[in-house]
Order: sequence, then C-alpha cells, then structure tokens
Amino acid sequence: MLTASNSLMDVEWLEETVNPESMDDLVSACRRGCREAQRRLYECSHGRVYRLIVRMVGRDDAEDLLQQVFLQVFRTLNQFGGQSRFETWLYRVSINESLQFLRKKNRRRRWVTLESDVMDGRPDQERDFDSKELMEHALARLEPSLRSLFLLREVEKQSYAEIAEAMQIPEGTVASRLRRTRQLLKQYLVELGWEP
Amino acid sequence: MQCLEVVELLSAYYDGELPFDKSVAVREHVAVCSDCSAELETLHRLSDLAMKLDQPSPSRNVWPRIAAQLNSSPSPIAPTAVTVQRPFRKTLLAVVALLLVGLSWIAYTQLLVRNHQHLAVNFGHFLDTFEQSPNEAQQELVKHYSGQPIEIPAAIRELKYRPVVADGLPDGYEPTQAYLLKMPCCRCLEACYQRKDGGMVCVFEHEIDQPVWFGDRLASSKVCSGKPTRVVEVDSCLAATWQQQRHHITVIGAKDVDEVTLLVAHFDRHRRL
Repeated sequence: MLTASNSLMDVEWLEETVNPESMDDLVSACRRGCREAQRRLYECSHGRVYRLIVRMVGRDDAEDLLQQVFLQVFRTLNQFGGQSRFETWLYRVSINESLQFLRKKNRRRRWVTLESDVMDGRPDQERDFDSKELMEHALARLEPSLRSLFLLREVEKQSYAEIAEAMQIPEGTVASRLRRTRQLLKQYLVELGWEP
Repeated sequence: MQCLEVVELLSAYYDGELPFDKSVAVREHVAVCSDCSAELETLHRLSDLAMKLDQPSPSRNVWPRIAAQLNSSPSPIAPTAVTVQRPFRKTLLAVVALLLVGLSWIAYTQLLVRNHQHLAVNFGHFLDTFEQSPNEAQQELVKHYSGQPIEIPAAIRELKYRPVVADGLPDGYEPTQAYLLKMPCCRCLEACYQRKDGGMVCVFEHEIDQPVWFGDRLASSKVCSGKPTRVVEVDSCLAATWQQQRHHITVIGAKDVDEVTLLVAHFDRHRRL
C-alpha cells in the first residue's frame, strides 16, 4: 500500500529494487491519481530519463524537459497498455519529448549549443580531450535520433527489441542504424584525435 | 563467411543480437581475421568510452515543480453509484438507448481511427526522412503500404471518385509520380511533384482525418483561403491538412503557409468548376 508516509528514498536504491510486480502496482496507483505513487515513480525512474535527455538537449534545458516528460507521463499513463515494460514506454515518451523539443528549437543552433556544453570554444586541434570529453563531443555531433539509439543501447543497456519498441522502428532498423551510428562515432572520435 | 558480410553483422554480433548460426559463423571468422578482430575491438572500446560518461543527476527541486503542476490539474474522479426512482425508469431507459446508439457510432468511428493508428509510426518515420531524403522516404512509404504507381485516369477508375490532383497543380509544379497506397481504412492516392526550386511536395487524399500522422509535432490551426487548415512543422518545411468536401487532403513539403494557401485555393477552385 502506498501511503503519504513513505520517506524520500535513495534514488539509485529504488531504481535497483523496484521489481516488475511493484512497478505494476506503482503504475496502477499513478493511474488513479495517487500523488505519493507518482512521486515514487518519479524517484525510481527519473535518473535514467535525465541521463538520456541531458545528452539529447544539453544540461541547460534538461531539468525543464525532465519536468515536461513526467507531466506527459502522468497525463497519458492511461495510454500505456502494459504490452511493453513501463521503462520502455518511459523511454519512448522521453525520446519523443526530446525530439519535439529539438524540433521546436533551431536544430542547427541546438547542436552548436550541445557541443558548447562540452567544449570551451577553442578549436578541436587546440584541445587535449580526455576520453570522456571525446565521447561527449562525438555524441553531440550525432543526429539526435541516432544519439538516442546509441544511448539506449550502450548506456541504458536496452535490447534491440526494447529499443525498437521505444523508438517505434523495426528491429532490423535498430541493427542497421546502430551499426551506422557506431561507424559515425568512430569517425568523429578519430577526427578528434582518438586512436581506435 | 567473408569480411564484407561479417562487417555488416559485427555490430549486432557484438550486442549478442544475432541468431545462433550467424553468431557462430561470425565468431569463427573473427578468430582468424585480424581486420575484423580489430573492428570488434573498436566496438569494445566505444562501449568503454560510453561507460565512462558522467551519470548526471537533476536537482532536488524538479519533483516539487511537477507536483505543483499536477496539483493544478483536476484529479481522476471515481464513479459513484446512483439509485433510480420508478417514475424515472422509462425516461432513463430512453436516455440509455440514445446513449447506446451514440456510443455505438463513436465506437465505430474510433475503430476506423484505430485502424489507422499504427500508420502513425511509419508516417512519422516518413516525415523524419522526408527532408533529408524525400526519395528514400517515398520508397519506404510505398513499400509499407503496397503502393502501386498509377496514372491519374486509372486512379479515377480505381477510386471511383475524381481526386483533387486530377486537374494538376498550379504552374511551377512538375508531376513526378502518383501512387495508390493500401491503407487500413481506405485506399489513399499520393501524388508527388517537384517544385521549380527542386523541392518535393507530396499530396495525399484520404477518407479520414489523420492527426496521428503527425504525432507530437508542433501544430497550429490556420485559415488558408477560407478553409480551416492544420499546419505542422516538419523540420524546415511544413505539412498541412484540411478537409476538401468528403475527403481530407494532406500536403507534405510546403515551404511556408503561403504555399499551403496557394494549394488550398487551387484545389478548392478546381473542385468547384
């Protein structure tokens, strides 16, 4: 039973311990409008959403978008039929909201802004990137839907079937796009001085 | 298995997403091929880099903002039981009967709409691809919906109505190809044109309004040449949809609202002639 007495729990702990059954209960309670359930659902899932969208839209806009994603989730939770895992549906909403956000902005300007999140304005050849910066910079150069695809696979560890569900594309397309994305990333990284 | 084939499969092999037999074949090849082995090592290194990325967390004040927004929205209302006095039963039965008729009609129309819902996925992909590669987008759409190239006179015979594009588009649009698409609720005529500036414009004529086609893209309501028109941003071009007599027209690839207005006015004028 979800009550208002639930204390604010450690995010990572919740993410690891919410099992499928309790997640179903949580989602059901959220559908009924239980605010405490909504808070718990947010607490146990916002970390993975934020990780994804911060690399989709940049840190400056990520919190606003996180808020928008969860408002959208709670307002459209009745549309989640349970055919896929809730987590997969949540990724779908997050990606849709991120892409919509990017569409609303000028895409070209947004990419520049994203790059500026990890760059300090100096040309590439004058910088001595560490490996983390290299990857951030290379990711920022990817087209947004390819970026989300790569992040779902490599950071969120989703299977091709789950990615296909989240991105609403066939599994074969997931495979071919992921292959292309990895080739592009390798190319961008090499241009930044990475040695494969 | 040759290198060329292995390179195609290496990414899925690395992810453990290949069928068993192909996975075995790739593994055997990689064991004896230094080039493919090096490629596989690159995939490992890309993963290592991805795992080193920061794991950022948002500030603690996001949930209070969400809760405040939710509190300002109405909560779901639980249904309540009612008792009915005998004198009102006939009236109630009549109301229920009317409601059932109404709901049946709504259910029927919703069924038609639902049949088209899964189109949204493929159509969304069509829109995503359209600007970068209109021809590729076109090919995928035709493939998904068993599209057949068709001449307009043949389309008139097939559809048993005269589509709006039967009288052509305004000057400056060169017809490239028309297709008959088999969509769940209806057969839809799609006619493609090339503008003088090289841009591609596609005109769809369909029987049911299709807001799902545009997903969550930014949309606005306009009145173009006197007709209510929904205009949707698709990257740097526009899509627009409006009702033309019994059918709905959707145009993809317009440069701006002026072009949408031009097409709305053109089709309307020719339909009245």
